[in-house]
Amino acid sequence: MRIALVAIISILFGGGFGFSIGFFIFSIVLNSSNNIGGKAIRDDLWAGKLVVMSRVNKIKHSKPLFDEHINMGMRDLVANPTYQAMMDRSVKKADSELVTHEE
Amino acid sequence: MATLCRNCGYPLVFDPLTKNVVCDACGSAFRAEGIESYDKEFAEGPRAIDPVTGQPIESGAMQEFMECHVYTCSSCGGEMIISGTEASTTCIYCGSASVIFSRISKEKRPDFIMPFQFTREQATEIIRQKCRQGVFVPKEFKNLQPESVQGIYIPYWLVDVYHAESDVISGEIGSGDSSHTCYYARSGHMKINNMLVEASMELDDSTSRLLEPYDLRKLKVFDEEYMLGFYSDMSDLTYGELRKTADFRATDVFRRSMYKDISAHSCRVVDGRSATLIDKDLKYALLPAWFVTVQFEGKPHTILVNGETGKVVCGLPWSKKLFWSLVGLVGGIIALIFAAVYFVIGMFFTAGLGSLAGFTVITSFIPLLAPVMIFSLIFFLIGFLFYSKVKRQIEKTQSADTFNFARKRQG
Repeated sequence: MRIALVAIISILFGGGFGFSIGFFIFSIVLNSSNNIGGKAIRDDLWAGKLVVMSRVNKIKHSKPLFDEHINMGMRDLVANPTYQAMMDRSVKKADSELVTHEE
Repeated sequence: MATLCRNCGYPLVFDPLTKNVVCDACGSAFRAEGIESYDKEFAEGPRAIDPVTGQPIESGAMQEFMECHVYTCSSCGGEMIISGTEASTTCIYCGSASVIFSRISKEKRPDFIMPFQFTREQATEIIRQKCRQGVFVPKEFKNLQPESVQGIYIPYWLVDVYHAESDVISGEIGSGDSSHTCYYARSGHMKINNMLVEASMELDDSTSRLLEPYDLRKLKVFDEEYMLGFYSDMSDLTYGELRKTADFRATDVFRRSMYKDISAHSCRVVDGRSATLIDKDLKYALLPAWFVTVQFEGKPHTILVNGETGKVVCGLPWSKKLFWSLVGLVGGIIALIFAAVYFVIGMFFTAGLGSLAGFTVITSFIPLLAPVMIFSLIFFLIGFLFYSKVKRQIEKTQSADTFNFARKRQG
């Protein structure tokens, strides 16, 4: 009884482990051989420099506090002259219009 | 486009190898910029801006509209677009040579074009090589000869984007039992220049994104002659779609940069507000890609190749029989070894127990194997992630959208 139980458990666990390892190895091989060019490039290639306007660390978990920080941050961003300048230069066409060179 | 050789009257094609427009009949070669199509209208006006330097490009070859003819095949009704010089051509759908012009359409003229950097033959060889390298690619697919590889210029808008965002971000500090979540408030802005937004509604965005990157320094001022011998699509993107794509990509870039500003791991935005502004000075460019559709086991597989870098995008079909046989074989060998090891360990640990104490055997032996169970699960899950990625890529390669996009351009 003891030997049979130990044998069954060993086969079950050994089998599970063996299958997982086999599946893991060949899934990696399959991915590298059959998934060609499947990785999108990171957009950082053309990303500009991030300008951080405000930083507050380790704030309390509270929805009103979150909203306050978000609204305050957004107000600062909108008041920024760069934002205002970009706003003047931005596309203002209707969503349904086809994209063309603006006159 | 039928720009004819001034020596023999045969249609000219652009040769990516020599970067000249050549005549296959008499061997004449001309500089692409030096050729004038019969219907090319020149208008002065340095409206195009160099996407890299931001300086205006001086060129006389500027015109607001590019003329092209949309016509319907009298035999099958298929719609085709050709230049004004062609009076008849072979229908790409039915092969019929008889075509009647039905309407004329004026499309916006692109600012830039990136000429193909390598030939159709080279593209075919690149595809063949990729197919041969695949371990699980069926033999029949490896031996397929990709025919009618078509060069297609994909339309893109190059947009300058200003993204402002104010967020509350959660991040994990510490690891294991001491790990806890902290919250950070951040606001900032970022200017992104020449973000590529693919402008053909027919081609799936996620597919065209995989073709990137393109080296924008290789862009040339648009000239029809670069299109000779290739198909080209025109932009049919709406401002709504442009905003959606630009916002999606800008948000992604912005957040990844912002996470670097926080000394915590597993960062994610809990709540926030953002605004993405698109500069109205949009630049319109045509970028090259090679397309080929291969029918295998009744399903179309559309393989794409970046016409500048040679990057191949496709999910190759795989032999399930071979895959599962190898998993079974290698898994079986490992299973046998580990089962034997567990058996020895199990016998050793349960040696003092009576032969009928089954429950005691189970309760004393199984906890020893708990780490094995956890590792098995981890390996299986990681394996499943890779497996799913391959499946998704193959689904994309077999997708009707990509197939339909390519089919219209393949004779």
